[in-house]
Amino acid sequence: MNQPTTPVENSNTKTVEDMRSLFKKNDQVADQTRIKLNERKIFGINLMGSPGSGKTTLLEGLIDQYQGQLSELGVLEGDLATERDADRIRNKGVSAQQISTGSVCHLSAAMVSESMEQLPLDDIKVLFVENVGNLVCPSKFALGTHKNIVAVSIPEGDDKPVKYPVMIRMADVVIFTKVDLLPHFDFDLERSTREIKEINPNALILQTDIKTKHGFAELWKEILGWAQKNDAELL
Amino acid sequence: MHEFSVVSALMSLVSEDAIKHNADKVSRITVSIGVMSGIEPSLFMEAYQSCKKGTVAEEATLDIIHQEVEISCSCGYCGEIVGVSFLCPQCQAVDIDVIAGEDMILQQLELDVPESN
Repeated sequence: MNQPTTPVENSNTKTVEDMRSLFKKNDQVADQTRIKLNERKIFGINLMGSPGSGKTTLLEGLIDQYQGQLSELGVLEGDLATERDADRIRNKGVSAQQISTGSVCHLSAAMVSESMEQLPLDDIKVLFVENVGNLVCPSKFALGTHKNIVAVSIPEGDDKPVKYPVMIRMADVVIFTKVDLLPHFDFDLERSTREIKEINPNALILQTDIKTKHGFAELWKEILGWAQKNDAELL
Repeated sequence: MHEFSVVSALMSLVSEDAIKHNADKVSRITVSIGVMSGIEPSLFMEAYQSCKKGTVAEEATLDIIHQEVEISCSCGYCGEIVGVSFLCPQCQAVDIDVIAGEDMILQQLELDVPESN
């Protein structure tokens, strides 16, 4: 048998158990962000939903109904392109920073951690992060915010929650937006509510209508209640 | 198409493990994808094929395990749920612990470690 002229290095196969989550690195950055927000007594909300579900309009409605100083609010706006949503928020007198993701279909904890430093954090008490319009991709990327709000609009159809259960699972609140359009659509509110409750029994379900401002005071009550509870737990 | 974000997280974990164990090559990667993890296995595989080029895992095979949602309940039930109803199929309780199916885990790696190590 011929010996090889150059020695071939032998290698052994070694099997290694890892068991780490692929979401862990993002989660670690998110945890750091939450600590920073808690230190500054800022309550953070991740607002998610389809493109056109009314997320920016929901924020405009919340700004209009806010009883405190507008300097206490801050908004990060996630989009693939343009400053349009941040401009809409600034036009209401609230600090806003646009995060342009390019081709990325969701915000990540690192994007939020970097961009929030551009906001006047010393004044802000409630920070809204409007995620990229998408019912799929943003769901598993924690941002370091405290609560998740998912907007589902009436024109999207009553089957959206059951078709996108992963997003619904992540929601602390599901808001049916544009409920003034209910008479014009075959939207079975009762069925959709029941399906959300099956997927996520702990989710709070609210309704808003920007024309009559219905639901906004109730939503503020929830948000400020959470913020107060969070502050109390940190003491 | 957030699968690219998750594949890049995978590649960084794999590369950490390869360095830690002095491996010069990764020959097999096993991940479990929960049905409620928000990850589409076929897109994940596609993203993996393009991300592995030029890495220590360039020649590695990717095995995907599909993980159903599993819960445990105070009534003693431990197992799968029905559809996407997150309640105990035995006692209908909603206060349940989800123990699998919502995450995506790097389970196992096969590494080629040179004998000199």
